[in-house]
Amino acid sequence: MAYVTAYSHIEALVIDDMRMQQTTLRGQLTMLGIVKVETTGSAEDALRMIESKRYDLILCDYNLNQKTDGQQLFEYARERQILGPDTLFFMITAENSYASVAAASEHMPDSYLLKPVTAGEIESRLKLQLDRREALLTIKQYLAKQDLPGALTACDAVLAKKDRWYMQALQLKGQIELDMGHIDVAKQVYNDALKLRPGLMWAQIGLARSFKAEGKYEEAKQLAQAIIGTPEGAKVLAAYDVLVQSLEAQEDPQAALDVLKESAQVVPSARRHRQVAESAYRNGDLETANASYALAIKSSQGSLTAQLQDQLALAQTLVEQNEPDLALNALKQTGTKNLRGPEFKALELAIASQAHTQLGMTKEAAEEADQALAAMSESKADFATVAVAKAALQSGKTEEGLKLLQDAVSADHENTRIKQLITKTLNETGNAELVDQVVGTATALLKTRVSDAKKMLRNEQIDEALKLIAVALEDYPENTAVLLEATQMNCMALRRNKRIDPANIELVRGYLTKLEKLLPANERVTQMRRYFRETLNLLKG
Amino acid sequence: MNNEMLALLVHDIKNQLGVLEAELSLLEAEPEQGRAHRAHQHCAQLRQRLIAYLLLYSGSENRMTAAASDESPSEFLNSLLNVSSRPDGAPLRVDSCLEAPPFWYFDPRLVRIAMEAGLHNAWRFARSDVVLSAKQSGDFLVLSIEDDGLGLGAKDPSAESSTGLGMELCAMVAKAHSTAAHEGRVELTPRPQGGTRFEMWLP
Repeated sequence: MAYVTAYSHIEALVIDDMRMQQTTLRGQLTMLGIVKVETTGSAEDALRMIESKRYDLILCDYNLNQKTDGQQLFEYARERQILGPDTLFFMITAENSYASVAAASEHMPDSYLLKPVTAGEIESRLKLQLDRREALLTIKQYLAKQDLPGALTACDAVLAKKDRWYMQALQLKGQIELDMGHIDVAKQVYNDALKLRPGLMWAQIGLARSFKAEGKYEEAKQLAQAIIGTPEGAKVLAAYDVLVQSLEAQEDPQAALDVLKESAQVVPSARRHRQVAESAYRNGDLETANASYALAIKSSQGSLTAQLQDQLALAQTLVEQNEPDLALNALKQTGTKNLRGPEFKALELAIASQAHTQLGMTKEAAEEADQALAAMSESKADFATVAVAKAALQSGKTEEGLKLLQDAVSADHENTRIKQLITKTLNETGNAELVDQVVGTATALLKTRVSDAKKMLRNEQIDEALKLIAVALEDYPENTAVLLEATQMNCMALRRNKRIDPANIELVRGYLTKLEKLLPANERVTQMRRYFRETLNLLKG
Repeated sequence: MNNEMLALLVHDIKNQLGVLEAELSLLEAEPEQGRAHRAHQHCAQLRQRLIAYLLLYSGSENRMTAAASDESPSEFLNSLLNVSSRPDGAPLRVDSCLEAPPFWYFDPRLVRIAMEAGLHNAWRFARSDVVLSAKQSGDFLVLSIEDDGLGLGAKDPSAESSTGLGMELCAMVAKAHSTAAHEGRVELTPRPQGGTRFEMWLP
């Protein structure tokens, strides 16, 4: 029986592998007046449906009886931004222990319901979430427009009401202040929250992130460790992440690796194993890298979260462990995957070439190295570029190999991870004496280009300066240090010219968006975003 | 959970199932909507009891933990008006909650189960009124259930099916909400105007 209710406009999707359960849930939604209900039994179909249409409400069974469970499906959709920001996602589970699963996951669904589910329960959760959305709507709208000052004002308006949504607004406010680079205010917000509710998890995490954002890595580290030391915090991934980032910033990659290993025990997901493997590989801990890549492959086999890279990275690790046969075998395993791009082709050939060199099959090795070099479309500061360079160096194409490595440094010359990989490669190919030359020269060249541009800016040759840095960016579009400089120089130019130049402003916006993608949660990017905002305010004056 | 308690539990469930079985066999002989409805309700109540027992059972192995979130106490009490195990005609209302804080941290699932157990207790004694209310007292949120029954010490009209497990469950849930500074607790006191007042103190 359908009748018009406050929920009649809602379009819902039910994801459950049991036909009976689909029918029951559909019936319960109908009782609430929700008649636009679609159903599916498979995670893959669900993803396609979510991608092609915006649902208001998704009810998903946790145990989908397939390779992908409800939590993986949810995280996958959220991370790839397939899920609309307004879509409510409710997990349905028979497990009383799901609360701890959710608390320890990368993303939490909006709500979860314990089986057997009643229409009344769905309604009360739905009402709560819709009320919440309504109460925080203005804040979210400003955030969607990237208008952080507007969002702050909206937060303060909610806080002034001192109503049921006070803490939710406080949490948003802390994050916004942090994103704006107002670290002291953010800390005040988090401390206020902790006064209202001692031990509150999001406030403690926020405080640790604030310390990290102001470069107080030791404080960030200690707080994160303290959180992990409590029963409530032992499974909070965000605390592990702050700890890893702080340790990396303190240039202690080995300790960071150890913490990553712990976090992969808390949530043994493909993504966590992959992080451990990558860190172990950079640190030369091949045994751990091998084991963790194998775990990543195993835990994602046949699931949405499976990645071809894992298989290839495992093969590269095997080559370095002097196991050419196993490496070639691992390459064969990738045969059926359909997500092939040119960069994968180049990497595959590079690994095969290295394995054949080890087996003494120099002719094959040389051919594959040639093909790998030909398949490289552009050199990036990434794993594949370094692997192709290594194959080239090993099969005697020294010049090409060194050029690739130099390009990889230039592509992001302040990226310590890529420098770690390149140094490792040069050492392993008997070119240790070239480290300074390759890494140093490429770094110095870019630094010169940047400083030349800055000199021009100081000499009031503003247009020429901006042109020079733009050319550097054309050559190395993902070089984060150049992007940061280009942002700053364009802001300075805007300030000197004292007028709003839409083209320049658009350019800076583009740089910042790119930087936020390349360097998520990075304090320098946050500062630059702040500098840009202040610049705009000055011009609007 | 010790053996004695386990025996009590099984005994209780057996009694409840006996009642349900009798209802169903009557229905089988002579189908009738009203009786079917009552049987359905008894079934829902029994399920609610089982969930509570399960919680108690798992709680004895490792300490019961509360997943606290910020909740509105008055909205929470209002949601109890629609509990599925509420018997037909059982009195229930929520007072104005003027002294209730706008938000408080507690585990709505656990507290709901505890309050449901408290309500069933109140309904056994109440004559015509059961009132829910919330207020802040110092560092505690106090959720209360008042009934207009004969008060503490009165003869339980349905003593046979009662095992006192409800109160134990409530105490465990309150305790699971303890913080570093305060311990959660329950209190049962006589109401000045007659009847009983049950309170959950959540820090």
